[in-house]
Amino acid sequence: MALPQELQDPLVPSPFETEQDCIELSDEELFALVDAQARKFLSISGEEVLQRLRARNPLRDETGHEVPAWGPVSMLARLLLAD
Amino acid sequence: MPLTARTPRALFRACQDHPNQILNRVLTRYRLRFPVRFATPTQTLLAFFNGQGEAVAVPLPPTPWYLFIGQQIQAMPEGSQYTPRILEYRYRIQGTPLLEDEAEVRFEYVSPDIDPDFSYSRHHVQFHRDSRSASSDFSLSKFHIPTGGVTIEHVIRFLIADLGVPSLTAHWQDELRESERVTREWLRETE
Repeated sequence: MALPQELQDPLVPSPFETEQDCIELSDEELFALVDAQARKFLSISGEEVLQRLRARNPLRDETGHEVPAWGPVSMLARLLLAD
Repeated sequence: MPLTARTPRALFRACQDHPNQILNRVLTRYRLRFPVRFATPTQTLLAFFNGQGEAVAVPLPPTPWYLFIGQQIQAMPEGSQYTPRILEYRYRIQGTPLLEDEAEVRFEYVSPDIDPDFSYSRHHVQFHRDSRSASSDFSLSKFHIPTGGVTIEHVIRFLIADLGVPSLTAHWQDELRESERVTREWLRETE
C-alpha cells in the first residue's frame, strides 16, 4: 500500500493531536501511522508488519524473544486486517 | 447483564469509559483512547496514545513504573445490538517509557480469533529476561506461564498493592471492587 505524499510530510497535523477519545482514520492514514511506527520502533516496513501478522510470525530478536515494540505496533496494524 | 450497544462506536465508547473511570479515579489522569477505521469500524485498539498516534506507556509518579495498556476489541453483532469480544490484550509494566524496552512484567491474552493454533496458554504472564529464574532452563521471559483472564482492574490493584504506586483516592479498594463487578458482568468469558 503506497504512502500518500501528504502523509509523508511531518508537518501534516496528526489525527491524534486532539482531545477526542475516538479517532477516525482512513486506511491511508492508518497505514501511514503503522508504517512510520514500524520503521521507527522495529526497523521494518509497515507492509512487513502486515505480512508477519497474516503469517502469525511476530518479529523476534536473535535470542528468540518477541521484540518488545512488536506488541504495540502490531496491535495497531491489526486494525488494517479487520474484515 | 452483558454490555450491549446499538453501534460499534457506542460499544467502544462504553468499553473506553468504564476503564477510564477507574483509571482516572484511582491511578492516573491519562485517558485510554480508541482509533477506528472508516472502512471497518467494528474493531478497535484501546490504549494510551500520544499526539503522533503511538500507543505509549504512561508514567506513574512518584514510582519508577510506566503502564502500557492495549486491548483489541471486536464489536460482535447480536440481533440488533453489538457486544464486545476481546481479541487480544497486552498489559505491560515497565521501568522506562520506551516501547523498545522490555517490560518488567507482561500480562497477555491471545484469543482463538487472533491465532487458532496458539500453542501456549492463551492467558499468560511473562517477565523481564533478567528476572531471577529458578534455573537457566526455566525462562520467566520466554515461558507463557498460565494465568486467569487479567482485567485492567487486576493490573491497577497489582500496581497499588505490590508496586507501591500511590492511589488517587483513599477509597481505591471500594472503587476497584465495584469496577471489577461491572467488568465481570459486561465482558464475556474469554477462552
